[in-house]
Amino acid sequence: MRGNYLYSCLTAVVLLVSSVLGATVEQFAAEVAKSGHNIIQLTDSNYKKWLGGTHKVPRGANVLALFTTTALEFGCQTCLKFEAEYDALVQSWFNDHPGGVSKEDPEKALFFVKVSVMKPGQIPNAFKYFNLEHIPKLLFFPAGGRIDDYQSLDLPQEEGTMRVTYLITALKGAIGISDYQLYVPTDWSSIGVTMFAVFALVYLVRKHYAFLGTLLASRALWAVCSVAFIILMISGYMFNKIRGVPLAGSGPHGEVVYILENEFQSQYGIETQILAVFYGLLAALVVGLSMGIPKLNNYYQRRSDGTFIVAVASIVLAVAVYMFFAAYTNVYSTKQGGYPFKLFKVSALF
Amino acid sequence: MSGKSTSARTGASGAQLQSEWAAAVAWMQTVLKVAVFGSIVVAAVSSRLFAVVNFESIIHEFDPWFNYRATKYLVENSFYDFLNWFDDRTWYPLGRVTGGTLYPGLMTTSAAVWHLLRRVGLPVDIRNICVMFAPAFAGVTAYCTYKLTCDIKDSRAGLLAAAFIAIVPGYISRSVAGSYDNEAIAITLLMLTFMFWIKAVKRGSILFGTCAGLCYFYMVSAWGGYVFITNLIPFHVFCLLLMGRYTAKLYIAYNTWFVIGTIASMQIPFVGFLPIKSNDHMSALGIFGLIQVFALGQFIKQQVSYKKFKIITAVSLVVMMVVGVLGLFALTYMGLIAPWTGRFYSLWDTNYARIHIPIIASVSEHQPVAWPAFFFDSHFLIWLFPAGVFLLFMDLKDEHVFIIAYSVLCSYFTGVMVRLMLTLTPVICITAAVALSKIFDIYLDFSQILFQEDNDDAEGGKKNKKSEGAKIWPLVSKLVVSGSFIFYLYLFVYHCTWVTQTAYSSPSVVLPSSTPDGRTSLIDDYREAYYWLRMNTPEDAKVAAWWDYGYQIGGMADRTTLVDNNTWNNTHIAIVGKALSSPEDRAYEILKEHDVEYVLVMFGGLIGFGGDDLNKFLWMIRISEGIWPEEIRERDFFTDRGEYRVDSGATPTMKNSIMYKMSYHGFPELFGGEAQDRVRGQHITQGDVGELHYFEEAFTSTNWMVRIYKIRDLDNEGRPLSQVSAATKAKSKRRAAQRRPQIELRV
Amino acid sequence: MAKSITVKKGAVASGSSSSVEGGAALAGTISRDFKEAFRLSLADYGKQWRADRRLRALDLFALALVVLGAVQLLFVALIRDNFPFNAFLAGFIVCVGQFVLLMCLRLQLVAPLEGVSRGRALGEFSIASLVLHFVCLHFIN
Repeated sequence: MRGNYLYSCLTAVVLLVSSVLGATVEQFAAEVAKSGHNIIQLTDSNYKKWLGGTHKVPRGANVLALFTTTALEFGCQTCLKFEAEYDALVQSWFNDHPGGVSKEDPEKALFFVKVSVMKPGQIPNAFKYFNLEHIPKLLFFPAGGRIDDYQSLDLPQEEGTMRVTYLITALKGAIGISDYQLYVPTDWSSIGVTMFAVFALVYLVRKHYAFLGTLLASRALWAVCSVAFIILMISGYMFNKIRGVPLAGSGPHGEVVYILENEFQSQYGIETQILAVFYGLLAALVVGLSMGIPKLNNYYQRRSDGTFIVAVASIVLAVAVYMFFAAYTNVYSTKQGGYPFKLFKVSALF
Repeated sequence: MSGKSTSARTGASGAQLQSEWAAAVAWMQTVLKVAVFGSIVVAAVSSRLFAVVNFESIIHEFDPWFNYRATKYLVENSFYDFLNWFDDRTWYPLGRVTGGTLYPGLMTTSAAVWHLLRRVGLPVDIRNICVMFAPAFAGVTAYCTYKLTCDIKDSRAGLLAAAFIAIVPGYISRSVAGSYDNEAIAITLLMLTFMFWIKAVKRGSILFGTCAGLCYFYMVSAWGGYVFITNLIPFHVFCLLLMGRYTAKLYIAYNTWFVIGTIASMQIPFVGFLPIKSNDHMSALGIFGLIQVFALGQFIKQQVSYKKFKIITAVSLVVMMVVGVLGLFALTYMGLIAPWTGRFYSLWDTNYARIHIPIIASVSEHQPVAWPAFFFDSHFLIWLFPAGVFLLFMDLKDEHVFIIAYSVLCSYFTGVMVRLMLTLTPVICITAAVALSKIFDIYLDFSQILFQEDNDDAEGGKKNKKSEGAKIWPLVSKLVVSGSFIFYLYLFVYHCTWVTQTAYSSPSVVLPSSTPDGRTSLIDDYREAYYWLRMNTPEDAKVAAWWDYGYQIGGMADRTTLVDNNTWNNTHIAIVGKALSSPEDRAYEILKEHDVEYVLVMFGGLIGFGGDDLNKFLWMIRISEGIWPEEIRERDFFTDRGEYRVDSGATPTMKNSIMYKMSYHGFPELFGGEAQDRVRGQHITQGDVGELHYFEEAFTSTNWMVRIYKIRDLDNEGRPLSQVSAATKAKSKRRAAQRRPQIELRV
Repeated sequence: MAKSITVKKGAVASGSSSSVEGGAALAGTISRDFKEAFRLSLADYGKQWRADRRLRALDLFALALVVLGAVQLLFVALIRDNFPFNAFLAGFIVCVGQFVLLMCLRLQLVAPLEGVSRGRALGEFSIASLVLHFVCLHFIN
């Protein structure tokens, strides 16, 4: 009885110790080889094994851990964007160091792990352990430490290759090695598409040379293009481009919000589209009034009811201008609360 | 807006009566035009006077204070002294070669006006000239826009455009009374240059080309934005050449403008040899070469057959292009041509400034524009603008190409940089006026209906029934359309007045506010503090403050500053930023190295003024981090969660920085130990704000907006300053009750 | 335009013939075309030259300016120093500017534009030249 008790106690202790014993480089390498694509996925049961370590048996290698999610329910844009970049970071390292060990200094090794939230409500224990509230989050666990020896790595603002480059620089500094360089995976599909497009373009240009000439000399085309460009610019397209604002926001009850209210100096991406439609329609109506109606007048000159048709057409256009302008001012007054010169909405009558 | 009715009654009696009639109508038109014009100018000037009426005749904001100071210097000294002016009262200890680094057009003009008025016998104070400068020039702008639009369409559109530009908020924003800035004169000159340029292109006259060149010179002397003209005119010519519209007129206009404009612009010391060195000006030079080639080609074209000419052109074009591109590369590579300057470059690669030049990114004038600003600044003109551009395309004359090129380029630039709204506004006015006057041409023209009546009378009541309907319907439709647009015009006037009054008439030196019982009161802390500086500090005292306030300190307090709004030396600015974001002992060293005696910070937490130094603090950190990345780190000022906090959750680095201590020094005690910062909405407790050992509070303005600290001298007993302050504190009790401002709530 | 034509023409012709050496026949036709254009232009120019004495004077002046500009450029290239850069620049630009203004005048004299008579063109030209010279003189220091 007593021996049995002792035995179970011992087992428990051994189990406990083994679960927090630091993993060695060999164990890491074996796991990486097993997992197949160089990133060790952490679960509730094994995260302490890979991140942990004790005084006697500390962590054998440097570990970079990414806490992220790819679940669409969270709507984490940065996580999704960073996914590919993290892959590039990892593959660049294993490209030069298949065993995960630095060539300069065989004592220094680097491995990558990842903890992902799969579903809302099932937050992995590792998140709780490290008190994480924001993702994506990068934690760096230097070799020779315990589970609580880690430092947080800032995720740079820039996106794409720039971010990976910054992270590599940060990692090089943190580990103290210099043989870590970026390999950008060649994107064959993009090259293929570009080449195909170029070929198609050259082919079309050669084949329809004359047509292209008339197209380029077409005044209407240029007019429409320049007006479209101007409309894009005055509806805040460059603001979206430079600030990288989201397309639309969500309200307090999770509903989609299209217009950022009472924010005079800011906007959502979709506002540009709404505004472009307004400008386009209003401009078209004005052009219709000043060019279309005289043409209509000439066309109907002979008909007896011609004047009536023309008159009605011009009144309709004028009313349409009023309606759109009224709608426009109402949209505007949501942006600037207390705007005093709102036009009366025609639709309010009904 | 009149002038259509002349043709109405032609069929009447003898030729003499007709000519008399025509003369009378022409005379009436002139009188009307002059009357309309007079009222436009009156409107332009009076709507800019809100600032004077609401506040007083005072120079506004930041840059105008420097311009005002420079103008005073110019009036007191000779012109040559002014050009060679070395200002040792700014950028201490470097000083600034002011004469060579400013655009003298504005100061020279107002000094000339001052001298002229004195000659005439009207000795006006130079300050009043500076205050009233912008409104007066707005009237001139209206006239230039009128002339320009006359050349684009006709005088009806011209009058509309003049009326628009007179009151449109986008232009008023930089030209209210007291906003004595380069832009006040620059827009006038922009319009003047374009007016002469269009005239030169239309007539092919050397004289107008010369005038355009001289106006361009004036523009160069007044505003850095002249680069816009330098590129727009060549772009116009390039478009015309591409469209196959080379004419002798174009050759004459461009060459005279270019030759005279370029050599004249090199007279400005600040510009110097830039026109032949910097890439910004290369397009003008390139087009100059190109148009010579076109002239040559034109000459050959007259001689040889079309087919042969085509071959010759193709071959020569290829050769020239290769040589030109190689030459440009070679010259840039050899360093003979300066690379694109940063501010210009940030227009093309919109990320460039954000990454490389924090000082540009920190200036709010370089921010992109969200759409409401466009409507705010031009009301319904903004949707007439695209329509007007489209209508210009329909009868695409040479001058229309110019307006189109202007619209397209400038709308892009404005989208990137909010400041350029100013240059977009005139073209919005012009195109909108074109569109609107086209509509009015059709729908305000009742001559046909009247004329029909005469005809019917002559024919007798034959088709009376039909003509009844034919008369009524057009009349109704015309009334509806023109009536609705006149209503929009009416609304436009109200909008402009409202915007001008609410948004653009604040001098931002004196701030308006309203008390709970609805009375308005003025917050005059800036002037109070600057006046204190002027009266209570030695004349050669050096004041350290963030660069935003440099010009005001120089202009109002007349004290030497370390940095000012002329941000020519990034490192020097970073030094001040570093001092403000360092802990006390470090800051003390830095400030002592620069002989600083007073430090001035803005604090809006008490009255809720958002533009204070703690809100600008991040930029100070960023700018100094750009120079000393290992000493100042932006990360240290954010909490672990990436928040910018100033309450008890603030990081130690934040709490130790002298900016934090100086802003909140004595603030919690004011409310009995815990105070709310009205700007950031956070609670500051007594324990958060550390003691100041090296600095002592010298002055705090009524509403605590400006706080001035004096740097302690070394103790004569050789004790470290921290001990000294403890000792003195023990001796003299703190002022028990701080002055607490009366007004509680302010809007 | 006259003298500049000949100068530039030579450069263009030699450049183009060397660049398309691939097809000898093509190069042949092209160089023939160029020669013909050159000959015709010269002939037409000669006609102008003989017809109007004022144009002759004008062209001689333009030629003198080209020579003057070239000499300045050569001088700067030879001494390998452009120390009073503004003086050189003013001298050179006044040559180029005056030349271009002359060309403008010439265009207007050969085919008067609508609304600008020959006399007026001459007057405007003199004003522009005066301005140019004043500015350059100022720039020279």
